[in-house]
Amino acid sequence: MNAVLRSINDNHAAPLAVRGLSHGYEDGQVLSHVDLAIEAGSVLGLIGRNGAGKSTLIRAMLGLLQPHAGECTVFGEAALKLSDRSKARIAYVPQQPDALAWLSARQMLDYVGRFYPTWDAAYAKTTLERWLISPNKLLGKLSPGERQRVDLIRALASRPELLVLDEPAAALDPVARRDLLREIALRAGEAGTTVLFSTHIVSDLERVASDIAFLHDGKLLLHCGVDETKERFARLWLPAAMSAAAPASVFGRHRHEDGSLSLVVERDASGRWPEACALPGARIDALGLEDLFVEIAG
Amino acid sequence: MTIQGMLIAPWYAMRRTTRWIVLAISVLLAAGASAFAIFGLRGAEHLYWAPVTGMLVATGVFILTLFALSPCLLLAIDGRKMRLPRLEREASCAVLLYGVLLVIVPGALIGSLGGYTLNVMAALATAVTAGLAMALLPRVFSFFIWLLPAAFNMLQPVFHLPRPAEPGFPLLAGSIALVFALIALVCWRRVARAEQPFGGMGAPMMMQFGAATRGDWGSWGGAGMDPSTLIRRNPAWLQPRIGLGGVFAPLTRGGRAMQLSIVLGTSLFFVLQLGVQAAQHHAEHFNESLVHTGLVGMLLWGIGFGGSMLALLPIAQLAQRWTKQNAELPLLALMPGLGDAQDVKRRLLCASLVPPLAALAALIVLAWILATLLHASTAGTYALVLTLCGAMAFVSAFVLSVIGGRPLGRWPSVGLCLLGYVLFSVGVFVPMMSSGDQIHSYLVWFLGAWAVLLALLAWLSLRGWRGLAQRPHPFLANSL
Repeated sequence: MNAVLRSINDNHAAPLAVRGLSHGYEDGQVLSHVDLAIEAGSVLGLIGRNGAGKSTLIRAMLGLLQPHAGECTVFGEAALKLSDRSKARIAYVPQQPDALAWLSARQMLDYVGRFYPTWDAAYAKTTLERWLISPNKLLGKLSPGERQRVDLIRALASRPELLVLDEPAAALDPVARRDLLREIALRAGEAGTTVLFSTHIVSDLERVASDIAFLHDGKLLLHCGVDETKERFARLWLPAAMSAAAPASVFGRHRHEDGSLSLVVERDASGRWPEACALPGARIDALGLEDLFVEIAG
Repeated sequence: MTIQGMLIAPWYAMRRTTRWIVLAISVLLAAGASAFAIFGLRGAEHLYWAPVTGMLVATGVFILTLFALSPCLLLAIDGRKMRLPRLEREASCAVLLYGVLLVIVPGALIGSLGGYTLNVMAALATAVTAGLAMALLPRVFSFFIWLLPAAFNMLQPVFHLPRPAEPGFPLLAGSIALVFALIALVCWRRVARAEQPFGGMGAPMMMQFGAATRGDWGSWGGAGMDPSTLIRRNPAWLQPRIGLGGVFAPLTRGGRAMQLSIVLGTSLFFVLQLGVQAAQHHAEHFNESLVHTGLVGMLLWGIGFGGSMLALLPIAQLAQRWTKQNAELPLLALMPGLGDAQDVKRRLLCASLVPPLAALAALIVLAWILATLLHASTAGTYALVLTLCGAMAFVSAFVLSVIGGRPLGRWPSVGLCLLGYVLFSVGVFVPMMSSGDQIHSYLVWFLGAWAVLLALLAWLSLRGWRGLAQRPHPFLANSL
């Protein structure tokens, strides 16, 4: 009975959720009151500039650091006190993975695989071969890109229900990046794996993410579907004479030399653009994901 | 090329921390040499004032050359790679200029006060060139330069080599200096013109001084070094294989034998040296003296030193592991099958404490048995056991503080290690003290200092234990 209840509870709990998360280091606040929940089966792309707090957010979500405030849960359990059962469902690849440098790729996969009940040794072996990584070479002697690929194999071979990747494509060449993105899309589409990955590369995000979260200066500015962003946000250009009528609450604001104003505006709950869009001389331009990122974070 | 550029080159070439360490060592050595010359030898009137002071100063000059002058090679490499021939020339000439100054200035000063000018200058030239050669040789070979003073002591009576105050010394030391100078020159040219001067087994020893270290424990023979860096540098037969890595890794019999052969090989050298010296002083009882003096000396110094290293290596490795957020910690934190938080803490404590403590305990038993068999003095045996117990306390305290998330800062750690090292060094001399009231008062101070050190370590352990109890799980990285 308890097992059934736990199973129902697990199914309903978000794979990853944070509420009121704040954290900082000696040189200042990194995350400020972040609320975020990831739906099961979604692929969430976490995007933000360098130092925006992406890695800190991911590490706090997985219980790899003790946040100053807030609550982080993984499959409904406190992130800092995960049970073995939940751990077996998670795979995480840090930015520039550097673990177990003294083992060869084969030894590391063999060692780690023993801890996971759903370990797919055949997948690990064939992917090593497919990605042309020498299984007997020590991890410490691999290039950063090879090292990252071995860690991705390690993460994927455990057949996780939740896959968390911190800048997974940073050290990969374009071919390896395509392979990875294909693998993520496949896992999410066929196995229903929930994926969270942080990136700077907007094109990667557009290719595989179903949802997007913008993190800027430690604050979560928006969290919505990727397709939704194109419908929901636009660039409003107002001539100098009309700039005084610009809406106050916008994401990005840039004044040009001639006094005209560019703003990122959002549709309201009923799907309408702000009233300023109807002003004479006002112009609405569609925004791609990359433009939106630059407008918000630039 | 300007004279200012040459004068400032070593300062720019050194790392910031190295500059202060070099300055501190130089001041300490200069003060020590002056104090010894004034109070120990009662001034320049002493017959051997100049050679003795010259040898002391030469030691300082060796260290200065090794740590302060050799990094000019980095400037020369940068100059070559950035197509700045002036920078390359200034760096090269700076070494030559300072090398000559380090021989001539102290040599002339000591010589004018106490004579033996040529002898002192020859010793200084040997120190400068040996320091350079040691820094520029691949580290596999440079290690052997440490053994040369001991080799000289060993070979001197056999081949009747001239001592520092004897007339033949300038010729001998000058020839050795010439060999070292040639070695340094060849190494400098080889490295400065290499395509990949910073990596591989052929990289010079001095490249280690700038190696990226983590956890505030420096290199410590590679223990505190980033494992990836270490792996790229080490030959395959030196690589630890499993688990936490480094000294924690269970090795195969072959690997263990290889490790032991290095330790025993070096130890054998010192035993031989002690033996030869003993034979010189007690030629009529050559065999007994050789065995007895050699083995007892090895027992006191080798076991004490080995015990200290056994304590420091795991500490340095764990401190390094617990500062990296993208290495073993996240992997272990999210690894299933290790049990709940309490199980994980218990298993981690066992994995990190049991191997070094067991090795130290075995060393205590071994030391006791050897001391009994070799009839070592009771005071010396107790001092040695105290040193090894101190090493056990060191391991426990620092491991707990690291895993518990309350690591001690850099300077308090250095202070504690220095106190431990001083007490270990004093402990070696305990059996040499004369008996009576004098030894009693020394022992009171000695044991009092040990009590203070052990109290500090107990406090550190308690602090770490409490920190560990409060941590939700132990695989949380410590801030730098």
